[in-house]
Amino acid sequence: MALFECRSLTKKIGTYRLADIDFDLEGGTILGLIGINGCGKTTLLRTILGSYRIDTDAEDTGELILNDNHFHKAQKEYRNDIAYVLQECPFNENMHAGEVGERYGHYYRDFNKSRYFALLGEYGIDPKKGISELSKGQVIKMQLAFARSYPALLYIFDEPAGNLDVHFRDEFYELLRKLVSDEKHAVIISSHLVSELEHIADELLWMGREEERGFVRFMGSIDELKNDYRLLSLDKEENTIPKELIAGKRERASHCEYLLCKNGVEFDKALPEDMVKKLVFPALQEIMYYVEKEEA
Amino acid sequence: MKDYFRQESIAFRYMPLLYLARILFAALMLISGNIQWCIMLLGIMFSLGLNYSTEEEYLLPLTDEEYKKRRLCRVLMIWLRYLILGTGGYIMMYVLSSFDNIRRIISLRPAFAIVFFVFQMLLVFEVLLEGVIGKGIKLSTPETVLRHIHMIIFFVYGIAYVRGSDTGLILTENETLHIVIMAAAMILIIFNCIKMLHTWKVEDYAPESEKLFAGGKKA
Repeated sequence: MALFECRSLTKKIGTYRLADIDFDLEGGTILGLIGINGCGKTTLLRTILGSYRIDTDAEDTGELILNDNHFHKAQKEYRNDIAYVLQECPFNENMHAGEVGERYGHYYRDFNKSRYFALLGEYGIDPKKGISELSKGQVIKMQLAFARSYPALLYIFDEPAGNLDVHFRDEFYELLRKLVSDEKHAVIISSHLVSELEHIADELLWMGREEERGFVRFMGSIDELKNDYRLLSLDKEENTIPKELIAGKRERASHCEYLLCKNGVEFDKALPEDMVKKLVFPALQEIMYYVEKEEA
Repeated sequence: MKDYFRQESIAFRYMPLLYLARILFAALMLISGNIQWCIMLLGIMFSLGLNYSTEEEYLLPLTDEEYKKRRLCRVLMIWLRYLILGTGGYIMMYVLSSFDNIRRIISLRPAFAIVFFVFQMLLVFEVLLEGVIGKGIKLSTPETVLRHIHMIIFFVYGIAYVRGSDTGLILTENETLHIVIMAAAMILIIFNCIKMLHTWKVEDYAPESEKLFAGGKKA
């Protein structure tokens, strides 16, 4: 049984709707959540965390299950098993860093206050300093200290790395690997630093946006995604690629770059030999760029 | 309630100056006389502003019932504070009014003053509920103005009170009429409060600054 299940989630916020989001997460997995701005990544994470509710009166649907605890039946147990680091600090900015652990840690099962203060010390954060006085990177570190102070099963990170210095970012990714190494924990991390995510994430949830609807464009391993795509650079005059293979195109000064997608047909069967030799594997960022540019 | 005092003791250790400010404010409430209601409204805004609800409260491992109890306790504790201080202030005013050199005396008749105080406290309760669990106070359409007409009545009487006028802005000395108007407004407040408590459903998180005065705009 999967550690976390998101079943047919549909959530409406204002005029925007997340539609039929379905995925499972096994223990020991780091799931990267990517997509253009406004596609619903934060909405999805907030719904998983519970700050957005599945309101059946408002025609929301779906189920969230963590460690066999359904959100709507066992809200307390569900939430006790989740830890989070959010882009927007969820704590009252009038509070002090130390006060956060003392005030809110009390609600979490087995919250270790000494560990929280020790981690604050390790991250160089004065517990008596107000949250409003901390830099964005320090706020992220404070949240990380809080998240690591109780035994959660699922860790959610909403764009944490952008405000971290390069040195700490490396430590942070190492920490993620350690968190899931026992196969009992899982991580969901959303990030615009796709090139970094490519090296840390085991699986990918790529969300797309179509007018006022957010949907899952791809869910699976990164290798699986990359295996379906190739990049091909050709002179501008050459235009003999079958149209059904072209997923995106970019014109440069002297040549054109094409992103090709298999669509059920092997490249070596669909393209001439000289073109097949020129094919290269694209980076994840390139796939995203071409596909989303084409749809824009 | 135990949890509320636990949080207050934690806050005291980290922000002792806040408590000094609260003591000064309490003293003001006791001696401010006719403008006590102004101090009270400023105090509510300060309390709500300093202790605004954040996303963390929506993430805590609490059931909906526990969450509601927690928020209601916050409303009640702030409200009780004002009730005690307000009552203390009135007692002080009546005691001090026996001294000729004290200017801040109640010029309106005691019955009216008591009704005004009760009205005031009910309104405070409604404002707190709106700020903590409600959808905000908005006067942007005729319907919402009608819904909050008692607040306009409150301010009219409040201004009259400050001026120490028996007729105030209502242009009549008929105390019974004034009391009837305030009683009607009180019934509306009670109705609004009951409706809010009865229909209260834990909703999606929305930033507080967009909630209280802009009318429940979602994040």
